[in-house]
Amino acid sequence: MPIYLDNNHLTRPDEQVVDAMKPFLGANFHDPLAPYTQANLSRRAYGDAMAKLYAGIHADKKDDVLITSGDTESNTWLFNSLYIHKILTGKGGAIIISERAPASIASICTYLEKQGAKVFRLGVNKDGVIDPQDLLDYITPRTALVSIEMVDAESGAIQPIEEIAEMCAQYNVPFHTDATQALGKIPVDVQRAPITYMTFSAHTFHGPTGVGALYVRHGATLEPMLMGSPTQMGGERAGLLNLAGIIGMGKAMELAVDALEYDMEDVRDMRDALEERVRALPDVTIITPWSLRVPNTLTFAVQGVPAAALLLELNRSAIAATSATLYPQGDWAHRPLVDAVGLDPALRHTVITLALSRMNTEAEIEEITQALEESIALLRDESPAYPEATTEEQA
Amino acid sequence: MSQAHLLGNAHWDDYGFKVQSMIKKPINYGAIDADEAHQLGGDLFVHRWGSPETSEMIVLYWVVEASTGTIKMSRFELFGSPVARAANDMLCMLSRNKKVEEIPEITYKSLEYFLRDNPTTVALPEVKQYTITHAMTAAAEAANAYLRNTPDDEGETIVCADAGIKRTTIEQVIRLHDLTTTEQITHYTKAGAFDHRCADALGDILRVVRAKMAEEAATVDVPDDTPFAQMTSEQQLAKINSVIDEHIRHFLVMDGGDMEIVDIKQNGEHTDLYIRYLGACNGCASASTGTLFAIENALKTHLDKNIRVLPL
Repeated sequence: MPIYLDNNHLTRPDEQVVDAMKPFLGANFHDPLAPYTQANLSRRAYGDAMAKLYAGIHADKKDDVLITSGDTESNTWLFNSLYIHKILTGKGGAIIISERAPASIASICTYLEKQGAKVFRLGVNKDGVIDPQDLLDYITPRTALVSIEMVDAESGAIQPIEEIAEMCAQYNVPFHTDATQALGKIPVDVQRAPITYMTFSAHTFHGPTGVGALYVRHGATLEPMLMGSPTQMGGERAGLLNLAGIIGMGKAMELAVDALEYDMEDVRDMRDALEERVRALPDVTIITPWSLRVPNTLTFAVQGVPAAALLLELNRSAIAATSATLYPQGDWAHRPLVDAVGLDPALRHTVITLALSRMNTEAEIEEITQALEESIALLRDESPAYPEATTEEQA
Repeated sequence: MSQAHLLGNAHWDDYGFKVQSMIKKPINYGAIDADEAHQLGGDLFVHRWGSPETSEMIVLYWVVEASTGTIKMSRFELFGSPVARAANDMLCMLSRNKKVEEIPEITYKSLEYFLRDNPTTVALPEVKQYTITHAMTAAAEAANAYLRNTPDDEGETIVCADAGIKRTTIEQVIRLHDLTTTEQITHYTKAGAFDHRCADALGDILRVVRAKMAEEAATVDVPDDTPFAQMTSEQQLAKINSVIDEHIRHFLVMDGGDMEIVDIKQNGEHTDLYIRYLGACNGCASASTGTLFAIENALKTHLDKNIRVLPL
């Protein structure tokens, strides 16, 4: 049976999510915003789904949860809006992001830099976590935005966003966090910290792909992105609603919040069992300590073994995993993780990420460990970059 | 962009049979030790190219016969993308029984053709073409190190630290593949694959090389009506190569062979073309009969009736 371990990239939609969506891909196709009776079912389902989304992140009824096509769109929307509203008008100064920002944020910031915006990138410490005190070196009351991801997609490190959000509030600077990697893995609550904007996407918590949202706290500014009908997303993002997607995301949110109580504990147990076995392998470095990581992720460097080769070996055992160093698919970010946390640069291309979900089983863990042990032994045996091979050669 | 670009074509299962099998089980993988080299009647020469930091490290092991400078055996070890195994494996096969000074002359095209399953389907997607460039650069550098040729300093500058690719390699690649964008340079060299900051440096090199190429094209370009006999030998070589690529090479490669041009000489009214057969063509019964006539005929029909082809 194929084993899927690329859950930080995309998760399998839950059966209940698919079932909830099905009627709205067929007979109940109506536009939920239409005034006629036929659209009633759609309208009710849309209302329910939105209620689940608000409840899932503890948003206030006055706040906006704007539906988008996913995290990338939400991030792009926010940063473009910020550029138009603050930077072009001279109302705001620099943007502060994390060095480990997701690709959509990293790319748009590079783009905005070319347009003349000033961007600061906060580094991470040896654990892959940002030190909130570092923010004080860059933040001023004129800072346009601080954006720190809630969880690092590659290392799984949980960032101290509550502290950072508090600091931003003191400076009266809006704070954005990308919670795409956090939802369904750790509690996400916009009331626990002064979060101004938050991004999430259904595809990381067993929802459908192509749907996500941008949370905007009441009173925060946001330029409209797609112009059109004033009724669709309040005129901020026009275009017919992706009804089935929204319903799927609502159901997935409900399940994810429920699952946090018990399913995530199971995932953590499976991950820990896997981690214990990986830790026992020689010359393997697990990045980010256990306590600072989301319960589903295990990211490690395997000395002397190129990630691409290891992933191909795992693929032969029907295990799908990923690495940020895989070219051209990998998302290397601004700097490789190994450099960011200050490990030996020779490990740069040896990091792989195993990301579990509640769809994995305990029996799979044994299979994964076996495949890992065998593949690593095989690849090290023939690797010219693994010390044993080097000593043989010198002899 | 294009449909193919939008579909993305770097899937592991998309490689051809030949490349797949070489990824799975490269024939020439592994180290050679000095004793083994002596048994084969040569000296061991080891060359290391790249590093784990830059994602690819190739260690080449050659057994070189000292008296003739012929490579008796060639093997490799690799830290890098599994696809690179195929390129290096094929290059090791091609290097065998060649003289060291001939190694830098192995063409990109012949190596790429050898990796193909059939003449019309390219062996590797564009994003993996860098593996061929890396294999060839490593082998050429090994040959230069063996012959103690010192390359010029400026060409040695590493443009992108993330890929460890030298300026000369990038320039060669732009010319060889007629590249027009920095993304293409990345596909063919991996320079800038991870460190997006070096896009500017690559852009600068691209502009300079393209300008030089345009200048050269203005002087070298042959009007279509120039008779073959009146062309300079460089122009003749270019014409012959294009005819061979278009009409001949894929037939040879399909049978596991290939050919290369060794020399062109004017001999009275005749143009003598000296060629060498490679791979399965070398020693094939048809190499001096049917195949030879086919090559000669193609050149006679498309270029000049006074061309004679002489296999070495």
